[in-house]
Parts: sequence; structure tokens; C-alpha cells
Amino acid sequence: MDNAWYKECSTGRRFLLKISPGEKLVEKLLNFAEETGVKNAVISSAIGSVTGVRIRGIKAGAKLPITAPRMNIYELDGPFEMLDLEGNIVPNDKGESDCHLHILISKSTGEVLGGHLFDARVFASCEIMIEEFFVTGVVERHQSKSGGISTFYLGDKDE
Amino acid sequence: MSDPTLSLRRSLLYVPGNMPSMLQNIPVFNCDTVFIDLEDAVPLNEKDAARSLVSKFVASYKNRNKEVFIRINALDTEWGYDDLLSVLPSLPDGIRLPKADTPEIVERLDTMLTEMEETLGLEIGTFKIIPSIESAMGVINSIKIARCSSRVIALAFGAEDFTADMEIERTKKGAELFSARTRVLWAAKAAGIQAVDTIFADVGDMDSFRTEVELVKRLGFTGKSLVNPRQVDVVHEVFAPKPEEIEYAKQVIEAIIRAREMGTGVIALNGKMIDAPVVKRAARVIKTAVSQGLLDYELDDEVIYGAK
Amino acid sequence: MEIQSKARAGTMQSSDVVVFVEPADQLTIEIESTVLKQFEHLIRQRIEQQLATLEVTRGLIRVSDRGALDYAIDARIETAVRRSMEG
Repeated sequence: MDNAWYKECSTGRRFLLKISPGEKLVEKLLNFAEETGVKNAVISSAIGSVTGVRIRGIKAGAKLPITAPRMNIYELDGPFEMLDLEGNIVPNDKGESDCHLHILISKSTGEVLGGHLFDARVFASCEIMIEEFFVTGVVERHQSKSGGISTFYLGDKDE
Repeated sequence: MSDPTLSLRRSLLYVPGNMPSMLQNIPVFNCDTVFIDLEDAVPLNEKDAARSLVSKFVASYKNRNKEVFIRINALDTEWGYDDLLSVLPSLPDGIRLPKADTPEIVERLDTMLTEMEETLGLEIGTFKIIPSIESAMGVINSIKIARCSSRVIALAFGAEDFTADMEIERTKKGAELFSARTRVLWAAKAAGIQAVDTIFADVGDMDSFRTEVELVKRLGFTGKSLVNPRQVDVVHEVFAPKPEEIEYAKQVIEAIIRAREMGTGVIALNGKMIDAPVVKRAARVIKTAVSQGLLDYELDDEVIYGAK
Repeated sequence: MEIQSKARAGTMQSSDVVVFVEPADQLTIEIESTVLKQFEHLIRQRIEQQLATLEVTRGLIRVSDRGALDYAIDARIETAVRRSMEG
């Protein structure tokens, strides 16, 4: 019987985070986590405008694992509206805070782009709502063998 | 092999994949590139035989005096993938991909080539791609296709399948191909890659063939697909700069050197203004002439672009 | 590989070779060629080598050669054997 692979979580503190123009999104989010002692968190809302966006797309026909030649990495100057930032903050196996983010941005034409976010810089504004969560047992981020990036790991499946 | 993106590809000759007599003549043809064909030149019941023959021939063709591309069957046919598995280990220079209607189709070939390079322990990006733009959809998407993979070094226009797809007749004058050709050209030029024109099937009518070669050269094509060795010399003649063109190009370069010495970026040459685009074109004429052994001339880039 | 049924490969063009294979208890190679006198032993040697590579130890191989080079002999033998196994 193939049971679901899950962990129950309870909500912790909620934060409103503002990132200023020119600052790097990923760096600021991780600094925030260190500063506030947030171990695990999820982005519940994020809007603003960004520039220097570095994202990845997976090539048609690619097989696992998704190594560099199987993805297209885009460096997009922008600036763009940031429509949404999805993802989570979960520490890596060395206990350092780490995040996995996907971003949605739009051009002046309204054309929307998105992908796995490597990094971006805030252009004019960035307002992020973050929700801390607590979980029993271990939730860590490992370098995923198949995805080619780091994703969180919920301990053994049938723990 | 020098940088594949720069090599001269004026004449790209089709060679049927299931004919040993033609395959083993490849070393003696004087074309720049060969397209060994596993697709339309090979009947359905001989696809397996041609694939084996071609891979063994290419493996035996060691010190190559030209580029070797293989036209595999389209990836959505039952033969395409097996063609790749069979021919890639013999290390052709690249693949001509038929029916390249969308960027995704080319991307799919790109990832397959990556997998083969990893299996064969080759540098990623070794195998190049020349997609065939041979349908209305292909022409529409040619701009994205030209940019969708660093392996794509040229777009090749295919009028036989294009005119069939458009349900129109392929004529010798080729007026019906004009808009498709220009869009394929813009796509290739905008992406900084080469553009190869379609075949001219009537090998007996060399006059109409020469006229078509002159037209496509004037439009901006860098080469042409050929179906018979006799067509190669005509292409090389038409694509070679004329003596008077070479002479004028040398005058332009000498004029701009004088201008630079006088500290100006422009100068008049028998009444015509010589500015940067004119200098760049003159440099291209000289480089082509030198590479075709028509001229012996030392040209340093500083002359063309001017010291920063 | 194993010759499991009658099969053929190759064409009658010049520089090509037609290869017929059929199942048999031992390995026999019959060669007919436009250049038989000068090259029979080389053609036979090449066929034996290719059959060894394909691990074919039994079968009747009939070959009608029109001056095929080594790569063409290898290819047509391989295709004929492969076709005999596809049945």
C-alpha cells in the first residue's frame, strides 16, 4: 500500500518582510531566517518588482536527473513585475537555513514568465508575507539526485 | 575542425544513405559539407540497412576533408531515434533534422544528443544541428527555432516539403518561395547563424539553377543544399567574390587606413562615403576571398573595427 | 546472434553486395563476385570476421558481390543477420 509521504506541521509566527531596492531576494530571505531564528517557513504571499532575474527551465525531452545540459538558464534583466514567489525555507543537512523558490514575473506586455529561481534583485519594492511552521521529527534539505537542485526530505517514508 | 559556427558552408551535397557507390565518393566531392540521407532517399523497407551502412562508412571515413552531417528520419517516426543511436558513435559533425516545425522538436534532439555525448564520453555540444524549415509552421516558428539551442549552427530551408505543405507548386522561378525564404533568413541572421537554401531538383537545367543561386546569394543565404555533384562548382563560382569586388574591397580597406591616420572615421572613395558598414562588408569580401584561395592579403581586425 | 530464418540485405548496385542468409547446422559461405579471382580470400576473410563479431557460428551465407568495400560487406552481413532474427 503506497502511503502518502507527509509530515504534520503546526503554524508558528507570521512575519511581514520588506526587501529594499537593489537587495538580493535569496540573500535577504536567508538573513531574515537567521536573524529571527526561523527554521522552517513557507512564503504565503510575495509581490513587488525585480530585476536581474536568473531562472531555469527544463528542456523538452529531458530525462532525470536534470543536469545542466538538460536545462535552459535565463538571465533576464527586466525590470519586471513580480506577480508571485512560491517556495519554502528549510535548513540544509548542515543546519544552515536554505530556500527553494519558484518565481512568476510579467513583462510590460503582460506576458508572464517563470521558473526555478536562482536569484533576483529587488527593483522598486518587495513585500513578502512569511509563515513559520514547526514539524515533529526531521525535515532537511538534500541535494536531490533526480531534480538536480536541493529539495526538502521528510525522513524515511514509512517512519 | 575549426570553430564549426564559422566554417564555410556554401555547398551542402545530399548523398543517398543506401548507395555504397555514392557514399565512398564522399572524400572526392569538392563540396564543403555532405548531408548523408537516411530519410527521403531511403525506402521504408531499407531504413535498417541504410542506418548500418552509413554508420560503418562514417566510422571508416577518418581524416575528413569536409563536414559530415546526417539527415535522420523525423523524431516522430519509428526510425528517427534508432538512426541517432546507430550513427552518432561514428562521430558525424552533426544532424540535419527534418520537419523541425517547433523549437520543442529541436530541443528534444538537443537533449538526446547530450545523452549520447555523455554515454560516448564526448564534450557536451560536440554534435551540431541543422534544422530543416519545411512547412508553414516551421517558417512561422523559424525565429524561435534559430535560437532554441546552442547546437543550431544554421537553418536549412526545404521547399519540396514546404510547397507540398502549402499545397502550391514549386516553380523554377521560385516566386512562391520568396516570403518564406526571407523570413528564414531574418531568423538566421537575427540569431547570428547561417542560412542554407533549398535544393534545385532539375540537374539538367544548369541555367535556371545558376539564376536561383545568384538570387539566394543576393538575398543573404550563405549556402545551398545540392542534389548532384555537378551543382557544386556553380555554387562556389557564384558565392566567390568577383575580381572587381575584391579589388574594390582592397581600396576600401586602404582608404579607411588613410582615414584612421588622419584621425577621421569616414572618408570618400571616388565620390562615395566609406563608413563602418562599408568597411565591414569589404573585410568580409577579403576574408572570403582569402579563405577560397583567391587572394593573399593580411587583414588585421584593428583596421576593421578601429582601435578602441 | 543467431540466423533464425531466411533473410537478405544489400542491392545489386555496383560497389554493393547482396547477402542471403538461412539457418543451417554448420557455417558455409558461398561467394559469387565480379572480382572473385583477385579478392575471394579477402571477401571470405572479411565475412568470417564480421560473423565472428556478431557471434554467428552457424548458417548458410550466400554472397553476390559487385566490388563492395569492407564497410559495405560488414553492414550488409549485419543487416541480413538482424533481419533473419526479426523473422
